Amino acid sequence: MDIFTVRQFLGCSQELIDSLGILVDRLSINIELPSNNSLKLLAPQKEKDGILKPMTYISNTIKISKMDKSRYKKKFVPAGQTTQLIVGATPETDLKILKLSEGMYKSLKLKRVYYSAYVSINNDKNLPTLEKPPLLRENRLYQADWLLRFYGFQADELLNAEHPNFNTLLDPKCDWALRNLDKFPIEINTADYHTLLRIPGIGVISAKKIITARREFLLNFESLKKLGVVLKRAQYFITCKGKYFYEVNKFNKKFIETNLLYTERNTIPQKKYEQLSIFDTLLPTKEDKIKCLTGNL
Amino acid sequence: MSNWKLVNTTYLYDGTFDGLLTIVFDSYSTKTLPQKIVSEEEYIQNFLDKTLYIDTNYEKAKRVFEGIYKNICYEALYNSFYAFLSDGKNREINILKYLCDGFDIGPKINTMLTVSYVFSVINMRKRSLSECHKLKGLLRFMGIGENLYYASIHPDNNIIEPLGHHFMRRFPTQNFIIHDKNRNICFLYNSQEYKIIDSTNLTIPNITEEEQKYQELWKLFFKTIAIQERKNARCQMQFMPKKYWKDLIEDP
Repeated sequence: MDIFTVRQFLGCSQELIDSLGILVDRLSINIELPSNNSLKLLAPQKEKDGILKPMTYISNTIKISKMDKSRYKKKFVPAGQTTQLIVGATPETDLKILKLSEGMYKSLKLKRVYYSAYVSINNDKNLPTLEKPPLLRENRLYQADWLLRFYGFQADELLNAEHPNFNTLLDPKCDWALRNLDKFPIEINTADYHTLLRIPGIGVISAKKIITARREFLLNFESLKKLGVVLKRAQYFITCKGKYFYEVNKFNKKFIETNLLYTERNTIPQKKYEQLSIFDTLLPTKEDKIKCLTGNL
Repeated sequence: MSNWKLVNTTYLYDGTFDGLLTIVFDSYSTKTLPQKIVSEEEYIQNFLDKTLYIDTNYEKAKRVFEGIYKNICYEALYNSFYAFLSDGKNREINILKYLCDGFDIGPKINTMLTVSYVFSVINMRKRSLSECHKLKGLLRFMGIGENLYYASIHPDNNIIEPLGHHFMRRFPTQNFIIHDKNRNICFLYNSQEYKIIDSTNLTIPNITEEEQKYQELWKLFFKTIAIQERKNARCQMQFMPKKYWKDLIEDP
């Protein structure tokens, strides 16, 4: 149950890794900085090859220990290996960081990559001075990381050369969906599992629930709510039995984006003022409706 | 189940799972559905209700228990037992409907999530299991004597038994007491067998001196290891709701 992790020091011998791997559950070699130049600048004792070599060795040994059970009585690093990246200390873009993690998930079969927002403690000319650690950026990277591991997304889909960093206002999946609105709306009753996972607001649990439930009955919006599927974001991107949640002409980027931003307004720090639109695309909230009834502004 | 006879009676039982299974047996054999099922302790007298007390019959209960395993599936047994432990409203009547329907339909019942009572049973199971899982990590044992440990909890669901079984497997050689303060029951284990007793008149001895020292150390550790810049109260409360904090030693 308990995971005993050893953060491994660089340059230790292979025999040490071999015997350590039998004793501990998880090994972690921290890359810390996502490019060779940054490593030279801030962590000159670390080298790209010096980090990647032991990582490759560990992942190969894990693979061997799974097959060669006569030699390995106990599993070698049963909980897999992980690594950590520091975000915000160097000028790398989110795209570069995400590409690096994607590559490591594929080639080294890492269990997880941890992202850690940079907290400035020392003052040095090479170190940036940040007022606050970039926690929102860390959060966005974790969200994207989950999309890579469990939702079947590729790093190239989420970010590209035109948008190398994540949108601060919307989460990566919503952002992707708004850029690829031609793939939506998705019919809940016929879409396969991997397509369901691409709908913003529908995760692994909801998608599995939908798949089991629709074997017996066709689903509509009410039954989705009964199943416990959160429709806060999903309602803009799905149809149930061919019906859209709002009028059909509301399915456009402007309407969806404004309403998504409006529902997220409390969770994201943003400017206090906003430009009002004459053509009202915002739906009235519960409080607005009450205000209309009482006439109390 | 749609052509079953509805009777305007409230069934009372002794509050055990066996008692509920006896009701399932009786309802299924006579094809009747009661209006409500309430355990005897929780029942509040009401002049509108007709009540009927159903005696627990262990033979009938055993037959239903094995029948669920054989005719529905193992998961249905698991669902109904954990739903029974939860504090969900009308849990008994929902379990009754779920099981009776399950006998007619078979293992397919678990996929019929849009049926309200199936969903509520599965939801109740989720509630009690997730609370059990949380408390497995959150329980703080305190030494109150030679090889004797005590922990108090305030859970919403009656999960003291599965929780105790977990710690029996975890610490087979230690004697411990888990005290459910909301229900006033205690799980006792003496490294051989366990017992669940009523604890209204129970007095707990003070913690030992060694324990006192360790508690101080633990508090200090907790304070030292925290990183001020990365404090995220909202996230912390999502994993560990505030209602459980009163049983903690440290001050999160």
